[in-house]
This record gives sequence, structure tokens and C-alpha cells, in this order.
Amino acid sequence: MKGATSRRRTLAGAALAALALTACGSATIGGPGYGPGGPPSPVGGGGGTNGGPSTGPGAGGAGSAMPAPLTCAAGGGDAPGRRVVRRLTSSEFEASIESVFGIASGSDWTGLLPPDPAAANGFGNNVDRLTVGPEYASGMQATGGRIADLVTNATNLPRLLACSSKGDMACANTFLDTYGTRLYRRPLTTAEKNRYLALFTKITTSSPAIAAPANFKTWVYWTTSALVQSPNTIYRSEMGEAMAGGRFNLTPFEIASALAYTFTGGPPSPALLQQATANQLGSADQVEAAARAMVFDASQNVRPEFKTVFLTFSEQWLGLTSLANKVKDAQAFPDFNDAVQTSMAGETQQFVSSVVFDDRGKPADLLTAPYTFIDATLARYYGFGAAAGTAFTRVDRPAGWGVGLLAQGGLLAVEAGTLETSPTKRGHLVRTNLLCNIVPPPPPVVSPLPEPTAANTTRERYEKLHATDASCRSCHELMDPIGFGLEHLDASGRYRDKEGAFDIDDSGTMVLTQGGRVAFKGPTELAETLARMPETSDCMAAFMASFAFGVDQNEATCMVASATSALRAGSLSLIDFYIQLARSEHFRVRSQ
Amino acid sequence: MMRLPPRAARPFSRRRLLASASLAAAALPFAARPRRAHGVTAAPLRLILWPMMNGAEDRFFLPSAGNLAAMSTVTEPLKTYQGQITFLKGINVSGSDNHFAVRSIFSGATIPNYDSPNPSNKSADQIVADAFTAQGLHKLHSLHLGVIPADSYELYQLYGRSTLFFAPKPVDYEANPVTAFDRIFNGGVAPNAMPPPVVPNYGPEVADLLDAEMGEYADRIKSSGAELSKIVQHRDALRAVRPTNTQPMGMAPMMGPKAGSLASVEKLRASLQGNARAAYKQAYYSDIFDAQVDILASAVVSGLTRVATLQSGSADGNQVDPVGPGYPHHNTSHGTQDIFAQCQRWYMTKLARLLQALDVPDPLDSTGKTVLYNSVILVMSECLPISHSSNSVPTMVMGSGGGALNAGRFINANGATNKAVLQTLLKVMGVPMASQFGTQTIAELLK
Repeated sequence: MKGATSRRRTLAGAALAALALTACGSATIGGPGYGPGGPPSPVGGGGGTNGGPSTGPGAGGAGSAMPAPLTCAAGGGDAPGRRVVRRLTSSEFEASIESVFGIASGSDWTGLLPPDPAAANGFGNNVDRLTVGPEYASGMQATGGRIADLVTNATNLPRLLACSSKGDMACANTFLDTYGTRLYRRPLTTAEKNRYLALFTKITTSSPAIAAPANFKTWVYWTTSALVQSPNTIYRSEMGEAMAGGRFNLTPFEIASALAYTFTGGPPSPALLQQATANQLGSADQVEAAARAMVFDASQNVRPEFKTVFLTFSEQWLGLTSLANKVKDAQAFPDFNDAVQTSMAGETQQFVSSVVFDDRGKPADLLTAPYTFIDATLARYYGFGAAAGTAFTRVDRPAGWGVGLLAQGGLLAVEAGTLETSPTKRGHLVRTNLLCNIVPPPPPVVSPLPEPTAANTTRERYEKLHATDASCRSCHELMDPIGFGLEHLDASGRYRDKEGAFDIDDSGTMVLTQGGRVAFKGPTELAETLARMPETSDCMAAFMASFAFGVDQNEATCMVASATSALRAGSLSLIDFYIQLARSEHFRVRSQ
Repeated sequence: MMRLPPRAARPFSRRRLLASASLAAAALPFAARPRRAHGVTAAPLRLILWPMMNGAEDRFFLPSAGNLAAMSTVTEPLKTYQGQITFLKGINVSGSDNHFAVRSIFSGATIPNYDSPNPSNKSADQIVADAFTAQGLHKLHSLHLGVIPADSYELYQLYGRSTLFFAPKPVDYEANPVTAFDRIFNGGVAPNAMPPPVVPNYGPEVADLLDAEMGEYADRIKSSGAELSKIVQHRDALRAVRPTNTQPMGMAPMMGPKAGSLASVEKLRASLQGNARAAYKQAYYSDIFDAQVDILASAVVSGLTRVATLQSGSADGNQVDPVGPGYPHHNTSHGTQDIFAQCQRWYMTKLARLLQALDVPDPLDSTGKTVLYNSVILVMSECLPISHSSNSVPTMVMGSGGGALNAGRFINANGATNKAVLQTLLKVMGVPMASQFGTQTIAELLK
């Protein structure tokens, strides 16, 4: 069961993200101190404003909230999670149909299902959110009909089923054994087959005057429609079989499905199903080997299917799905347009791909890589680098533009207002998605920020409200001083030397989980500070596991404690960590 | 095999009803054979719920009680219809606060925190829609349209955010007006409407087969209550959309006369047809709003449905209102209130568009009354700007409820709750009182 703390935590994140600008409150939270690995050394509670990370003991100021770190009540070992049935996401479903029948998505059978609802952490594959109501069932009916149309048309039916011209019971069995097995991701039971074959009998006996191929086509049509809508197709079963001690072993076919959708976003291949049939997915080594084969091809290049999976994860983790919908003030940012937004999305994809896939980078690399990728649109927009057309080129960032993920234009534009930056939003993203800290939700009553004027900076306005009011400060000091470090990067993701006529103070501080705080100046030092914090690595691990397992990050972290330790220790790259998820006991066993 | 719970009462899904109702979409067939309503009036009543996200301060929202005709800064665009608008001052959202109270305002549920469980009871519109459907008063159970109801397509129904909820799931809003129009009125290529199948119809047999599979699946996972509940919900959903011998699976029956096109929908067709994600683009916000209002009005005027809701934005979302250079809605609500009042006033121009569309002779009413006269439109905010208090939230009741409502009034309801408002409206709609709304009504609202 998802713990109350976990649920509260994710809700808090969502709530604060929504009310980020001005929320003030008096709630404080506590939390245990650092684990092994050691954070940047804290400085005194005063929050220095110059220089890099410095050392010295200290504690948060009076009335400060303490950011609670991610913790795992289960202790250091891996703890298998709960049994679940996971409804396929729309993209998983489409990949399944494409793979099984060889018909491309984007034709008229896609787009009939309602959007997949998002979990509080922004992931669209949460096992508790993906359910089937009347809207979905109705859409799936229509989808099934259209797929059946395509499967039975004059081109596809002979291609899919050579015996269709004969149209006898044996061919019906062949259809079920071939396509039913692929859709259910396991052989059909006798009872299941008999139901479909009974339909065959009914159709043929109801219309004896009709030629066998025509009746057979009718049966394939309705059988396809039913197979597509079947719970055995729509859900990935991870229920397992009861063993001693209240544990449940996933079946080989359940493991095959979990592997395929986790690492390719699609269904198991016939070869993987064959491995399941041969009971070759029983050990951690076997499962990891299968996962590795899905991630890398024979030349050790990352397969495109896995790239898509991981880039979907990173987009949702970083909250970039709303980038395309962002509107900026047209007078302040006349160049911020659809083309720029599209290129920014591509920039981050290229950056993540380079670090994770090409360089086999580690969490710190994601934060501190000194380069980015630009196309001609971004070269013009940012004003640095040279690129032609829509092809992306790797370029080093100019001084002051920051490094790594936090300097990505798209991320900065999303975590900002239409006209101004939002140190709270940016700090909140760091707290919740890079450090996995708990930030309390906003209180019911909040005060407005001072109105923007030509006489003060964004930082001054935030400090005027949030730093001087004790009830605001207790939570906002967890976020705003982090966001201040990014103040040279404006609401549209570009560097600015000044804010209007005023110099920018981009010094910041970060309250640490074990007490005290660390100071930094500017986006590069902020990134370097985060890169040294073990929480950052642990948090990335938790979010990756969350995405892979379809549960929230707090729940997921306990399932992958050993791999998380290895990632933190630097012995795993990000891509290797993702593969290591397959070694976790959760991939083979469930506890309740 | 496990025995599954009794079959649900087959509540109509929106999509199914949208599809099955297409015969009625041209409006006039209904007008020719009006069904008489029930309850306090004999008029063919309609109910529309319109959440007004983020509220407004009284000084900008409420008109002077002594000079209602002047309206207020926010409501001035509704001035033409002042005689059909009753302001309720001092309505509190019972037991709830902040944006999450949007889950309360029409359901009466208590939602004191972001992490409060979702309501498990039906909202007022669903209660009324159930009753109307049971009486055969309309073909379409209820219509729910959204105007960018999430920050992005991928963040649809984001958990913990402020969405209107119906039991047992959040509302599925159709956010794409081109899709909505085509599904309702068959004005184009209806996305769910397949061409007539080239094969005989075995839809009911397939439904039986799937029902057996659902039962078997439920039996396999019965030891996990949480997972079993998913399968039971799925099974009930399949039963709710079960095809018949005359309506094959996935088939939207072709309607008779077409509803004609709506200019506001056609304006968006090239951009939005078959493109669900594009319907979340800010650039289309105003145009989508207009189109959704027009669709809703067309469906309600025709009597295709008598119950509808429209959600624009999300309660704590930041859709940019095209006011001046554009203001993000929620952020602006925390700022200078005269600017935010202009934002909310912009929303009232959209509401005025709806009222204008309803201010036409009612095709279901032989007495010549207008649809607006026969309607009840409840506008309510979840909380106030800045303070986020859910006490004394902006509330308006529009229309005359077929003559049952005291229209054009200013009622000081100080201390009354949203539950009392909802209970009163149930009474107007001729629906039995719902226990979740308590025992109180607002007598001054009623004639």
C-alpha cells in the first residue's frame, strides 16, 4: 500500500508547484540527517552570499523548516513492492498493436482513447492512476473496431494469416496461437481459446450459406476486436503466484512483459516469450541479461526504443511536458515563439541523450556537463554558437549561462512566470525533483508578492515578502534561495546581465537536511553543489525507479536500495542503474 | 469463479451518450415532441454548472444591492441579462478551503486539504442528470467540456490538482471542441464513428465474451482488494457501453438531419481535428472557449442534453487570459486585484456568449419561453483570490428555472453554504433532496 507519508508528500509537491509564487506558511518538518557519502560542508546559518561552497558547522535559522530527505523504512536492502495490474499507457498500447499486427500508429485507429491521467509527480504511467472507466472503455471499443478493420482488410489478412483463404477451425487456432499469444503476452488458456472458438462455431453455423473465407473474416474481425479489448491485453499482470512467507513469484511471462515494457515501451518479442516459455527468466542474472539486450544492440549502441523510454522519463521528471504550452509576455520576450519552444525541447533531449547514452554519464554529469545542443533557431535565440538548420550541434556554454540540466532553456522557461522568473518555482523543482525533499503544501491564506516596479528586482520582491515574514520564511527559505542562484537566467531561458537597470545578485544558499546550509553563487556553483550531494543521486534513482515501476518515488526507493547505493558510490552510470532495476527483487518477486 | 458484484445500473458514459444521442442533435425532432418536466414547474428545465476559478473580491464582483442594473466590474458583460441573474452574497463552501474546494462546490464533499480523499458522492449535476435520464427527458446524460483543463495534455487530471470530481473518477472533459462537436453532432468525421462494418454484427457476443474474461480475471486477482477494484470498475464500464444488436460495438449511430456547422468550431478544425494535444495550446484558449460555449449551448438548446458543465482552466492553473498583454490566471489572482478583476471580467464575456445563445425561444416549450428562462446556471468560485478563503465566495444563479426561481435579485445569504444552494437547485429541478447536501435550502431563491 502506498504510505500516507508518501501520498502526502506527492500531493504537497503538486500543490506547491501550483501555488509556488507566494505561498507562505508556518509548517515545519523534520527529518533524519545525511546518510553516508557526505554532503557539501555546511556553513553557518547566516547564509553567505559570496564565494563558492564553504565549510563550517551551522544550523538553519530560528524557525527554519528542515527539508526531509527521501527515506526507506525498509532499511538498506531491496524490498519487493506490492502486486499490481498495470493498465497499458496509450503509447504502450499503440506499440503493442504495431508490434503484433504490423500496422502503424498514426493511422485512424489511434487517438480515440482519453489522455492518460498524470500522477502527482507528473508521470503518466502510475499504476494507481491508470484505470478504465466508461470513457476509456468506449474509446477502446472504437479502437478495437478500427484495428479489426485493418487486420481484416484485403492487404493485411493474407499477410497476417496465410491460411485465411481456407478459413477453417485449424486456421482459427493458428490465429489465436499467433496473435492471441502476442497480445496476451502468454499462451491463452484452454478456457480462453474455447470462448473464441465457440464464437467461430456460432458464426459458421449461423451463416452456413456464406463461403468459409467470408465467415472466417467475420470471426477474425470480432476476435480481433475482443482480443484488443481483453483485460489480458490491456493490463500487465504483476500479480505472481503465491509462495511461502507471504511472497509471490512473478511468472516468467509476467517478467517478460515487465522487461519489455520497461526497457522498450512495447510488448515482449516472440523471442522473449520463448525465453519465458523455457523458464529462462528466473534469476537476477537472466533478467538483467535480457534487459541489457533490450537496451544495447550487438554493437553496444543504445537501441532507439530504450532511448524513447528514457527520454519520456526525463521529460516527465523535469516537468517539460508543458513547455509547448508556455506563453511569455510578448513585449518582454518577442522572440519566444513556437519554434523556439520546439527547439528547446529538442535541446534537452539532445543533452540528456548525450550525457546518458553517448557518454554513459552519472548523476553529477547530468548536472554539470558544460555543454548543450543548439540548432539554428536556438543559435539565434540564445545568441551563442553556430548551427545550421534543424540539426543540433554540441556547443560549450558561455560563461555565466550555467551548466547541465538546470541551465536548459526549456526548464527555465517552464519554471518561471510569463514576465518574470520564479525563484520559488525553480527552487521547488530542485527540492522535490532533484533532492526528493518534502516541501509542505501552501497554507490556506497567503499574501501577495509586492507588485513589480521599476525600482526593485525580483529577488528583492521575494525577499521582502518571504524572508521578512517568519511564517513565509519557514518554507520559502527552502526554495527561494536556491532559485536566486538562477536569476541571471530569465523567464524565457536566456542569460541576462542585469534585471532592467539593476545588477543581479545570484548568490544563494541551500538548507541541508542534516542542518546548516551551504552557500553558492550563480548557476554553475549551484549545479556543482547539487552534484556533490548524495541526495541528488538518490533522488534521480528514486525517480527512475518510480517511472520504471509505475509507483511514486517514495514507494519506489525501497525497492532499489542496493542499486541506489551503487549509483551514489559512483560505480554505476545512469544507464547502468536503469538496467540494474532488472536485478531488483521487485522484478521477480512481490511481497503482498 | 468469483461472483462479481451486481451489475451496475448502467450509467451512461458521456461518449456513449454523445454517440447515441446524435439522432437528437438537430434539435427540432425534440421540439416536435417535448417531454414535460417534473417537479415544481412543468417547464423543460436545464442545468448548467460553471465554476469560476479563483473567485473575485466582493468589491469587484458584487453589484450594489440598490442598483443591480449597474452590475459590477467583473459582471458588467452580463448586464443585458441582469434580470435573469441573482447574486448570492456570503456563500461558504462547507468544510473546505483553498483551490481544492473546487472538488467541493458542486459535490458538497468536505475537502479540507490537498490530500483529502476525492469525493465519493455524486455532484449535483450528476444527480440531476441521472434523474432526467431515468425519466427519458434527454438522450445525452450530461455533457462536460473543458477549455484547457490541464497545463498540458500529459498533465491531464494531474493527481492532487483542482479538478471537478464525480464519483468514482474525476470528470473526463473533452478539451477538443472539434472532437466534441463531431461526436455530438456528427458534423464531420466523428472520431468514434466507424463506417458501417463490412461484417455481420456480433458485438453482443463479444461483449459476453469480454464479460466472461473480466470475471475470470477478477477471480485470479481477488486476493488483492485494490487491484480487484480496478477490474470491477473496468467490468462496469464495459457493461455501461455494451453494444446492442442494432448499435454495434464502437458505432455511433448516424443521425438524421445534421446540426449544421458552428463557425467557432470550423475556425479551429484545421488546427485541432485529430490533434488532442493541440487543444492544450494557449494560443487557442479564447477560440476554444468560444467553440465549447457554442457546442454546449447547441446541445442544451436542442434538448439533446439538459445537464452540462464547462470548466475553463484549472483552479490553480495558469492559463493566460488575453487581457492586455496577457496574465497568467492564478498568479494574477495573487496580485493587484483590479487587474485580476479584468481577467475575471474576460471570463464573463464568455459567459455572456452562453447566455446570449440560450436567450432564444425554447424548442421544447410551446409557451414561447426562452431556454434561458427555463435554465438554472450556477456560477460559483472555489475560493477567493489572495486569501484563498472559501468563505463568501462569488456565487450567481442565472435563469428563472422555468419560473421557479426568483431571478434578478440580490440575496444576502450570509452564513449559508454551497450545500444549501445545491439542495435548493435540486428542488427547482424536481429532484429529490440529496442527503449529502444537508437539510437547508435558500428560500429566497424560490418563488
